[in-house]
Amino acid sequence: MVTSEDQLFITQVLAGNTAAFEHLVRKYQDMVFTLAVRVLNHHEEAEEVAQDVFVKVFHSLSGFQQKSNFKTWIYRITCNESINRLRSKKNKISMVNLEEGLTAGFYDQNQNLESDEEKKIVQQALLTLSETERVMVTLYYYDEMSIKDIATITDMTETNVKTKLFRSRQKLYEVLKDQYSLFTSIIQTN
Amino acid sequence: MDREADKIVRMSIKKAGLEKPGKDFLHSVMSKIETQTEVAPVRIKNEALISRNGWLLIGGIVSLLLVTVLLTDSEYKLPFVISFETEMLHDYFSIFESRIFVVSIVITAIFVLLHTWLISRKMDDWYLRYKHQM
Repeated sequence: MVTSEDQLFITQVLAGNTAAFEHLVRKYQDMVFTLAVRVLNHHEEAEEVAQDVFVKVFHSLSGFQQKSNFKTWIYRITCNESINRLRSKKNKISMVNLEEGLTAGFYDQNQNLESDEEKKIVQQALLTLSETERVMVTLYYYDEMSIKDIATITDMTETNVKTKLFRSRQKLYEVLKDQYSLFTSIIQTN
Repeated sequence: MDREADKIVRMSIKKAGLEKPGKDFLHSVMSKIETQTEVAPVRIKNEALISRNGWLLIGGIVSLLLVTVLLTDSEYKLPFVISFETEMLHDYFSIFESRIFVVSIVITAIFVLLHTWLISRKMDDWYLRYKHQM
């Protein structure tokens, strides 16, 4: 179901108040951008895709079934757009880009060293997963979405989502438990 | 072990947080939307003045009249043709006895219909352009 706040803005946009769409962009921009980054692993491209997603959402708003979940709908569009972009650019993406993405794309220099290190560790760990698995993990652990909604977003069966989440968790745990012990020892020696 | 893994992964993902787009993100999205909304052509639903069924009915009546007229002097006569066979009507329709006249009337009719269609299309274009400028 659409939240009453979303519903209000959607109704206003459909009535011709384009400015009301700003509220929806502000509310979902971080998550849409994060999902695009998780798939593309590249900040500039992810920003382009995220912008395209919002433009697409704006133009498709009249066709949106308001009984369904707006959040699920917008995340589904994000995943599809990101995966399509990834497929079209796949040949150009090499391991070198992935490394660049890790340092230039993910790394936010405005944050302090400790949170930067932690963030970097998590992002390195996430790179061991496939694009879809990264999206699933973000939706499940960060946004706390249900398996059913994740299945709708990723266009998979619930069983498939559960299996992939289980495998992803195991992979992440294997990386994170070692990385965390190393990270903790670095912090302690400093 | 599963619980521990779940706990660590959940905590790590939460700590990593969300990625933030550039500061101009909102502005860029809204500019794109506003530009595309301005450029997008106004879609006007064109409704035909005479419906499809209306045209079929008109076509049917015209065909019936033509058949009636053309068969007036032939051996085969439809039962209702008798009603047309008043003296005045017969004199009036006698002009259709000339094959050249009938052919010229048909060609003129096609010519007029074609021009009507072309002019109406042109007028639709002018109307859409005028609406879009407003």
